[in-house]
Amino acid sequence: MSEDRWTDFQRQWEALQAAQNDLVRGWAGRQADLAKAFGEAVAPPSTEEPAAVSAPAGPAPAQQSPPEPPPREPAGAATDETASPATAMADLWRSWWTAAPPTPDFGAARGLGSVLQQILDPAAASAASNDFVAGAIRSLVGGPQLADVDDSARRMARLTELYTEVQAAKIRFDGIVAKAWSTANEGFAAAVRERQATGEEPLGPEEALRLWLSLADTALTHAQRTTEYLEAQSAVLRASMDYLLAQRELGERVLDSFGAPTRSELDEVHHSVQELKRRVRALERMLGQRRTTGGQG
Amino acid sequence: MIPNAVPSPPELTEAAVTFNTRIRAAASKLAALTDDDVEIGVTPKDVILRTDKITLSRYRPLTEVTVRTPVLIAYGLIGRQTMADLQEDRSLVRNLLQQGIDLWVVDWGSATRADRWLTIDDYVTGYLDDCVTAMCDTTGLSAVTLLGICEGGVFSLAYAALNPERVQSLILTITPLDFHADRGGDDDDQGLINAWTRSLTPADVDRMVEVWGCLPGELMATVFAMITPTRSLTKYNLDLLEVVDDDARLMNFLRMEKWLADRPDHPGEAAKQWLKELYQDNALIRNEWSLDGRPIDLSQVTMPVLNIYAQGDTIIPPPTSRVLRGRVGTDDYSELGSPGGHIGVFVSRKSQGLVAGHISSWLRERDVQERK
Repeated sequence: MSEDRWTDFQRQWEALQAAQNDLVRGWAGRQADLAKAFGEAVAPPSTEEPAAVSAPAGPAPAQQSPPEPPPREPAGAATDETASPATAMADLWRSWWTAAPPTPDFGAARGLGSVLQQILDPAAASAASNDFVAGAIRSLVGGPQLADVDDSARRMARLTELYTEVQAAKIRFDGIVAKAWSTANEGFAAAVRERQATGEEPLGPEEALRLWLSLADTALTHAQRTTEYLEAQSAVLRASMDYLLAQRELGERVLDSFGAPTRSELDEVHHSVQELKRRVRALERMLGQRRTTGGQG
Repeated sequence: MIPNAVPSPPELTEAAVTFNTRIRAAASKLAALTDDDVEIGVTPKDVILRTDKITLSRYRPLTEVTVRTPVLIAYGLIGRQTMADLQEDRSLVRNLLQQGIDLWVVDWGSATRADRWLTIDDYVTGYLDDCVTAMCDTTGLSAVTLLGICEGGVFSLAYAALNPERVQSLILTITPLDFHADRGGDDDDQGLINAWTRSLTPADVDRMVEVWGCLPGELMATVFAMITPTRSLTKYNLDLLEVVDDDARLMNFLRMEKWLADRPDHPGEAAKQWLKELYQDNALIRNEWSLDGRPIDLSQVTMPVLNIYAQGDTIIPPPTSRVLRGRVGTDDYSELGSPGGHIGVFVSRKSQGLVAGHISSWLRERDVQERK
């Protein structure tokens, strides 16, 4: 029966959409967990740090000896445990450990791996201390080496977290939009069935398209006025703005190390110029009024 | 099995072939056109004043001037004043000039990030006042008529309330005044922008301006596109194909596209006022709005007022516009409902003679020979 075809199609489409949403939502959630764990782990050493990295799922990285990174789990061993921040952190740490040079080398490019290695291994940091002054000078003279590396790393982690929040908000919004499209699908299927039942001629291709678009327009327009839609949309906007502001803050730190003007500084200059223009206008008016009143006042 | 209420495969194949053939023909035709071939806002005019990015121009008369008081067209910052002069046969500007109106227009220019700190105060008590002064100096008169469009209508109304002695008559077109009057309507497409703006928090608006320094034209274009959500799906295929064989209709289509594509950014601080103070707080109609520390008191609008709204306007629904009767300080208040939508007031065939004809006769009845 054609009705079954349409119903099946509708159901399968919805199931596919839901599965896709679940998949992406799950991925985004795990990314957020990972980013949070990273942010906590790369923060400068404090009394809270051991707790952050010594979760029951594995040994605390701060207590590990540098030459002996924990063995990797075999490929394909990933399970639901990867959703755990501690496990995710351990995996992340292992991958960086492998990529990082075996001993601190301030002359080499500073990847996040070497930075993490120094944070987690006081001995390594001590071995490198002889080169500290030279490294500091190089960072001043030789270019922007991100002097406050730990802080930059934390900011980067925060940025990653905000990015995942944008994605999560988008997924929620897309789900709401998908519901509206689904309503349009249902409307179209119902209209076609009705024509069939009344024995009307089949629609021409353009007529069919126009009908579909009209139904979609109605469904989407209605959805757009719902509180659910508007809230989800403003959540995307809000998350995106937060992300862009954090990105700018990070970028401005880099620009600052170049001695280059930042967006905030330019905004400040433009603000001053605007204020000056207003003062000039006020003075011009005052002078004009004095002229019309014959120099009085 | 495919349901028999939808086209059969042979019909679909035939339709696809026809569609592709037309697409190719349309592509060839469009490839032969350049942006210069698509002209808008071309009625001749002379620049009278430039200040910062603002330009005041005076149109050259097309016939003998019969209404002495000059009329200034003030568009808003969302969109461009060229809408009033889209093409020769659909031009409020040309129609008014042919009715003997001394017509002027202000172009607010293209704001950039550097203009973030411009406020509506700057536009109304600064630039608009500069324009009125220049018009008075040029004509020797002490007052002008303001013809505000959309946001420009709010600017004009505010200016008239602050400077009633400088405004001979006030004409508002498609102007939002009660920003909350869209509530309670049955149509889903009415007042979407009002609802969208209210869904934001004041902090959201601040964030946008902090990030972009403006209200990006692209963002507003997207919000406008939401009003007809599937239009963008068909605009450049089905709709374009419908007009591509007719040169006149094709050029109409392309002129409108050119206008839509030229959507300037709205300066940031002015956008905050527009969205928060007006769309969210509805301060204007409640007589709680102020510019430069001076209250915008609607009872101070003592000159004749003509309020033109579009009967099918989904961007500025008529209830949000038709709210001044009894609120302004004049008994000489009237309204004109124009057929069509928001932009239709300027470009629809039905409105061409109607709007310009009504405006010119309304002005003629209230014109004065000398006020100085």
